[in-house]
Amino acid sequence: MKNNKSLYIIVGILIISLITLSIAFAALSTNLNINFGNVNQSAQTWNVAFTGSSVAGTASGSASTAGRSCGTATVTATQVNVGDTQLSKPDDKCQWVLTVKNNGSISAKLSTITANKGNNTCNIGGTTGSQTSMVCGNITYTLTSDGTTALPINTSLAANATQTVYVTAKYTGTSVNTTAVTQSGLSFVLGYTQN
Amino acid sequence: MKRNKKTLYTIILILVVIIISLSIAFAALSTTLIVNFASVNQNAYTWNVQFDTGTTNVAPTKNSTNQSSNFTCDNATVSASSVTVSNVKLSKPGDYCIWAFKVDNYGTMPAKLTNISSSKAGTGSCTTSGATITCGCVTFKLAKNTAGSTLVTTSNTSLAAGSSTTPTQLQLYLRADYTPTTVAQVNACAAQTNTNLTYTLTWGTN
Repeated sequence: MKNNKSLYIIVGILIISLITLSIAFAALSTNLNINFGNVNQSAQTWNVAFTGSSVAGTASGSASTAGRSCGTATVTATQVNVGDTQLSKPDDKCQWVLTVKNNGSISAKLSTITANKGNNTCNIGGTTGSQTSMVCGNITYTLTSDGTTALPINTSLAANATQTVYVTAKYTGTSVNTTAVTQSGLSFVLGYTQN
Repeated sequence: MKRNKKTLYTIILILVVIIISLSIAFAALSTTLIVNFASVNQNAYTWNVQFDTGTTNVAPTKNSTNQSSNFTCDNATVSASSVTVSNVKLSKPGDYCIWAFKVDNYGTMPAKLTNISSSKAGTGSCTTSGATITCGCVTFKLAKNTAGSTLVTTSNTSLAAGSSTTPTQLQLYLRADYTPTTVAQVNACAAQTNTNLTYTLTWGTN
């Protein structure tokens, strides 16, 4: 009996909570009517993705190509894997130009950029949620919108629009290594959300 | 009793599920795109560009005619980082001295001349411009040939990669000339002593 009473109380509380979440606060003593004519839900799609299947890296820097080679970036809809790359002396640089497209009908925006340094010792630049660079020893990794300007967040990507992302790895150190150094496991994560 | 309890439990469960659904129904649509780097490798290199010290006391080639007490071309003292000529005295047309020395690249990276500058820190009146220093009637040139006609510049001076045991080498010449050629020019030359003339060669990666 007592248990039933408790159960009724719980049900009552839950119902009240449900009503609170569902509807506006009604007037004390007057009935107000809100009528809807037609409530239509159009068919929409959400689809933000990388385009293309591969992107060759562009090398630049000092006149000598010794110790410099740019891996090819393999592209899928949600991931780009940049192949093995060599940067060995000051000013060596590799750059990949990626395209993100909003294939859906709902406007999107780049909300967050997160830099992951893996097991490397890096200084992550930018601000929380907009980490567009990593300095890992002699190598600096950056995401820009044009090769120079940090990739901005919170800008709209309308339906069918594209966004260009420049991925750059550059030897920004001023000296060379006397022993070979390998960095791996680095990544940038781009979070797109509804605009 | 039992049936009522079961009904109650069912109602509670349904309400809880509805509440949870309402709470999360408004989460935004989102997609995560990832850019991964496989590996970024930095090869090992060494950097070592210096003057060749195979001969540390370099005797100049000089005009061997009509030498007098007004003609002096000291030997050049060479170390890894400097070439020093103590005294030069040229006083009549045809006087010249040429010191030949080499730059070695013992490093495993190619090198190039990124800057050449000249200066006069001591007494005397001189003009300086890159590979050329002019002090009155004496002109100094840093060149890639004995004639002094191919001046050392940043666009024509580089060294391929070498090794710690076998360097690549670049031959350079420092030439000093008494430049007046006519009597009038000679008579216009006033005696002067110039000190602390310096060439600075800056090497960088190529």
